[in-house]
Amino acid sequence: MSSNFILILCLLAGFVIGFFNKKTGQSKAHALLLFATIIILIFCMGVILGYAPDLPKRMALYGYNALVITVSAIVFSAVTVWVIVKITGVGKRGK
Amino acid sequence: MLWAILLSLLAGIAASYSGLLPASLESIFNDMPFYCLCVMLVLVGYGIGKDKDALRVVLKQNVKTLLIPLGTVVGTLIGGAAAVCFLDLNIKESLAVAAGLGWYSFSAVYLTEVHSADLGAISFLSNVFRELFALFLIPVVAKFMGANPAISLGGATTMDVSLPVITRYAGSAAAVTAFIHGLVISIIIPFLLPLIIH
Repeated sequence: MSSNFILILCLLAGFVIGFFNKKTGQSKAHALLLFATIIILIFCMGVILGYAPDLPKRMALYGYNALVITVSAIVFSAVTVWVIVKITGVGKRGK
Repeated sequence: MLWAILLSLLAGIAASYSGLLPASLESIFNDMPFYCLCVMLVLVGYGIGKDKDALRVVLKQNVKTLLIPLGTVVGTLIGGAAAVCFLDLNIKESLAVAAGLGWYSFSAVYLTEVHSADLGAISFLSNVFRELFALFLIPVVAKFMGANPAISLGGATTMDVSLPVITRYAGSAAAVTAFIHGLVISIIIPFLLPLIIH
């Protein structure tokens, strides 16, 4: 079973468990567990990055790549949605 | 939240770069993120499934409302493709980084797992930048282009982190659209990223 399939199964399994859970409202334990998982994930990612001996040299390149992709992505997404609103008139009351 | 995330990333880098965590542990840290990702996705799915009010709001909306998150995804991917002209990445890598749509905890770790730590790091920074830029630019874009283009800046963060800013500067009517936008994008990302990178 591919790792992607397992990840999607996890998302769907969580959805089904949550959907059939009778308790209402979001629990603090859920929020706390999610936060802890994210912190562990990012820490592990940092550890993997730190094992690269030429990390300081790479950081500037990472930052440049990330900045260019982000700026391009947000400009094009705003323009695309603006065009969609102009053409279809969807969600105009939201302004 | 963002500060805690950045601190944990820096702590991880410092721990291994300084030799505090010996290289013999590297394989453990290579494997662990996948299991954490599984737990995180179960928790995210649980949160979405349990929030029946949100699901009701989504189902009550006009199908046309879904054009906004769809436009965000398409525009982001066009932006990711256009960025290739200025970078030393191939189009697949650039698209995969852009397709994180602000969900840095998932996309960065996922790309580290299936591709490389380098692409994971770029993805992490790019998605953190997206969240920060969204917080600063939403007021400006809402004023000059309208509520929906402003919502699109936030990507997946419009159902949590950037929702208060959208409500404040784009109006309370935009809050429902923003929440649906974030929810739909959060559901799309786990399907979209594997499609792009494989």
